[in-house]
Amino acid sequence: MNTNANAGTNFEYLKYMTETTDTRAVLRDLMTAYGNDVWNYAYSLCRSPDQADDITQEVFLKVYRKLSSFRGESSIKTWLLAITRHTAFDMKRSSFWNRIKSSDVFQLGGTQPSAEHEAIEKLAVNDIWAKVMALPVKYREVLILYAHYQLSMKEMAQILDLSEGTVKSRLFHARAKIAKMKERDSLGSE
Amino acid sequence: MDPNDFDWEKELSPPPLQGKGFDDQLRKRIEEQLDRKEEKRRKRFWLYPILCTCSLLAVSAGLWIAAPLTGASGELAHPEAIVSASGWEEQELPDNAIVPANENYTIKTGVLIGLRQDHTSDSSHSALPDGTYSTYRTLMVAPVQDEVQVTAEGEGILVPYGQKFWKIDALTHMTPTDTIHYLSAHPADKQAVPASFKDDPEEHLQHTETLQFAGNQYVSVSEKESIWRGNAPAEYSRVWVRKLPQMQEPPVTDFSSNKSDTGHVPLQEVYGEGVLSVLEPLSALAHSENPPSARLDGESWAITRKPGFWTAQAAQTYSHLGNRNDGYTLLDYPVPLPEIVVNHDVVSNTWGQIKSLQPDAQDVLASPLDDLLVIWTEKELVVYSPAASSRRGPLLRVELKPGEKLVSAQWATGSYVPQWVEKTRKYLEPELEL
Repeated sequence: MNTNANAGTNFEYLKYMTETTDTRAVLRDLMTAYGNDVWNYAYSLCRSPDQADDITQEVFLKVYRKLSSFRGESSIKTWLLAITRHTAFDMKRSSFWNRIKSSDVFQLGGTQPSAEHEAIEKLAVNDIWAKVMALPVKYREVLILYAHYQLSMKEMAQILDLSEGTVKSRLFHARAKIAKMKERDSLGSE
Repeated sequence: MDPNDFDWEKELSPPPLQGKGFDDQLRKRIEEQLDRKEEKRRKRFWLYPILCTCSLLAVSAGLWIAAPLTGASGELAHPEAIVSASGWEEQELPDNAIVPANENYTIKTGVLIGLRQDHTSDSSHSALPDGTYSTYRTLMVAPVQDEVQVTAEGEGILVPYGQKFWKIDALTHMTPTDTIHYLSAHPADKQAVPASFKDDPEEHLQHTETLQFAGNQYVSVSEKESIWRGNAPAEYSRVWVRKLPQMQEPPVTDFSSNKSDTGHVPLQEVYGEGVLSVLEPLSALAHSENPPSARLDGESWAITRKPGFWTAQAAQTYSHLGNRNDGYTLLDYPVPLPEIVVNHDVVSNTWGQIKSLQPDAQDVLASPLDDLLVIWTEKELVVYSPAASSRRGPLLRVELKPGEKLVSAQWATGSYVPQWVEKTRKYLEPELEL
């Protein structure tokens, strides 16, 4: 788990690398180390592999420009996931411009069209992921950041721009929703 | 099922999707995009002066042709979708720029817009050309109880300066032989003090100062003067950038006698000592009709408006006709204005996106929080809010006077918005405070 205890080391490494090495090489290292983390988070927010590609591309282009502005107040992973979230919401806002058709709607909340839900269910690596991806985004996020990325409450609060209390509350409700879905499934199979 | 049974969370350890993720194809796509951006950046620095020569060289009386600078993809302004005020690199997004679009979003931005309208006037003597003068007004556009409206409007240009507001008024001094249209800056809570001028009944003088840009520290002013002293008329044109307090001083007139100007800001003060090395190649591209004695030394320059952004233009100054005709040629200075001159000059949308909202868009301003967009057309300002997704249509339309141009745009965010609403009402509509 990345904690702020490692932030100093991460910051010093990044600072050293950006000051002494080709910035492009640093970016390549970051893509190797964190590319999947960024993509998976982007996908969990937008639920579309193509849009996750676009978000991930935009994140690393921003990171390339912002390398010198990383202040070491969080771990590199937390920093990258925060940029990913920001970018995902920016692109959601861009649907204002593109007048995207309903079938392409970048849904960050609410219920999904059933065809899309079915597709995500089929592609999901397991049943729990399928259930998590069906949650509204505010519950989906906390569960994924906690259980998949194993972030601390403090790191999650930084990324989500919430208090730790609110994060804990959302995590509680997210787990309750998954529990209910599992219960419904087990009742259905009896 | 016991909600405390969290064993199932271990099943979230693997990635969410089978067979898809950050792969080599995506990595290659990112690298190629970076290569394209870096190539564009290299070309832009070297081609900028040449592009300026082809499209923007002006002729003696200080006229310049402003051509929209759009990249090949139709993107706004500097050929990047995001224009930086602090350099060619894209500006770092502020932490509070996260604005998820939602129906309940509250707009947290206001903007103070300064406008100029130009007029012609009859000359005071048949030997002199018709004069020009300008009138100015300022609008405060802000949300009040969730409705975006013009909360104050008044004459002159109002700008924030430090912790206060200052006002720039257009004043006129007239005698039977002289007409002097000049600008005077003062703290907004005080009245403008008219300047006094020496009058020579043997000469006819027309003098006009025109405001091109007003920021929260610097202003850009063009000056034009025509003088007749019983022989051939003389015409002079000059352009300067000044600090706001310098506009408190009475203007210098009679340019034929007063060739120098001490109350201005050279390019070097804003950009540093590297200015001369940037200006040197520009000299070679300047107008061929300018005499060999023409100077391009950074003393005289202007801040002007192009669609989507403000830009610096260096003036090559010259004298013709035995010092009876001074003028200048403006050349685009190929480095974006620093934040100390324009503290927010970013539009994170392309022309295509802007024109999808307003097909007749000519210019655009975007708020630092990306929650207000002000689009210029020939006849009106149209205000949108991209952040409030339920409000897809215009929030406000403001009619423009014929030929009205933007000279100032200052943004307020968060708690500053209600403060500015209150203060601008006091300074722009003092009659309402009685």
